[in-house]
Amino acid sequence: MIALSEVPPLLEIYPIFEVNYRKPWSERINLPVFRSLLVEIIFVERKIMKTKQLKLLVGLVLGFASTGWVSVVSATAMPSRQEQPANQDDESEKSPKQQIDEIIATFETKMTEFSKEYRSASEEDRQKIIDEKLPKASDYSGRLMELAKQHPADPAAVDALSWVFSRGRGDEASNEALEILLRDHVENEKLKDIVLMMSFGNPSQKIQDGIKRIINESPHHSVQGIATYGLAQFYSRVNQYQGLLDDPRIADSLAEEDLQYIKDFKLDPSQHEALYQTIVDQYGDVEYRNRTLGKLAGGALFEIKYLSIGKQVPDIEGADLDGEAFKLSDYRGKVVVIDFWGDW
Amino acid sequence: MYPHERSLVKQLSEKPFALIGVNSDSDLDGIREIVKEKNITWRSFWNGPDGTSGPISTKWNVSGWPTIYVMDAKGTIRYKNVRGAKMDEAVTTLLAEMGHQVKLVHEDHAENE
Repeated sequence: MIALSEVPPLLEIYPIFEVNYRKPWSERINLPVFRSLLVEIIFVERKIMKTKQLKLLVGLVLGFASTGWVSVVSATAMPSRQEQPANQDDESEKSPKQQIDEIIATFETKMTEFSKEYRSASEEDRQKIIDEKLPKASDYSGRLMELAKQHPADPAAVDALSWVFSRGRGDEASNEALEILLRDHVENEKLKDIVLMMSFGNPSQKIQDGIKRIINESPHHSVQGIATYGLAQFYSRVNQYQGLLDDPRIADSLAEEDLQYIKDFKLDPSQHEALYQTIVDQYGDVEYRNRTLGKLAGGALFEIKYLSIGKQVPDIEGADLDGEAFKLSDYRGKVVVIDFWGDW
Repeated sequence: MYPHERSLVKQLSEKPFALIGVNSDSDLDGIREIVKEKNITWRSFWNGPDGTSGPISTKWNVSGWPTIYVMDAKGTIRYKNVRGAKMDEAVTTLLAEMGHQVKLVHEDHAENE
């Protein structure tokens, strides 16, 4: 059984989501887009996640939650409450970095406080705590953007812009932050922390061009590698979206030009494969969150090469739940359904 | 899911058909209980104590559960991630290619996941 009380702490790890506690699961969680986003996060993160968190996320993906009052939505769908964090200190005394760090720290502290309070609260008090205590990234974005614009040459500006981009995911400030990052900081090594996030969310020509610019213009091997992986993932995502356009909820959520971009997109399988091969060959040693790109891209490459429709299925040799050894090929000559399952 | 798959396995017990699971629970004893409790009648590989990070799902680049592959009798991958009625359709089509005409009928809600 999934403990919904584990949701808020996850928000700290997965800033691109916020939870809309008022909507029932069924309204949003079954949207394939959000499911696939979560799938991707699980994929990237599963090595470092605790089992319980993983199970929760898997549960979210599958829409298996036991009660019907929570859903995961992108931050853009959230109504924002406008309240700037109070700051009584004399800001003129502080460096931009200090100010930016403080704003971010304030948000983190509030999120931690919220999580603690939420978890220890009774069911009936929880809604109130959510209404009153759940911090909103949008309340912090304005001040961070201001500081980043006032001090464009300060290294901390990149931290502020990255925060606004990744936490605000899709809102206006977030889009603006990304534009400035690409315009003024495309050579900055810190872009490696956000470039993969660019491939999540609604695909667009702009995002594709942005990722390509980072690949071409970043002088850093690691950033180039992660961006290339991001581009390959991005192409998979656009391809995935094409299959989802029948769903009016998806189609209606897209801007006209983005919709057109997705419709016109054509994934060239051999090019896609070559892209993953490039990552393995040239950037295999680059680390991303405790895993190497070689491993991440290698998995995707294996799937394209050996697990596409029309391919001969690779054998599986293992043991069943009673410990008895058997092989998938024992069942050759039969129609076979393989189901990767778990009881969670 | 379980009721649908159980119904599928039962109805096709005389046909050249197999449903093979790859179980990704880390707790083997726990899952053995579940198999009894929920009457899971088909065979599964165990993905090992690392659960979702186990060797089979890692090699197959599985990032979401359930992930489904459907193979024809020659072992060619023909469908991916088909569930419920779509899984029935895939299986029926492939059996028909072998000359087995089947009509699947599920009891209440068995098609729902």
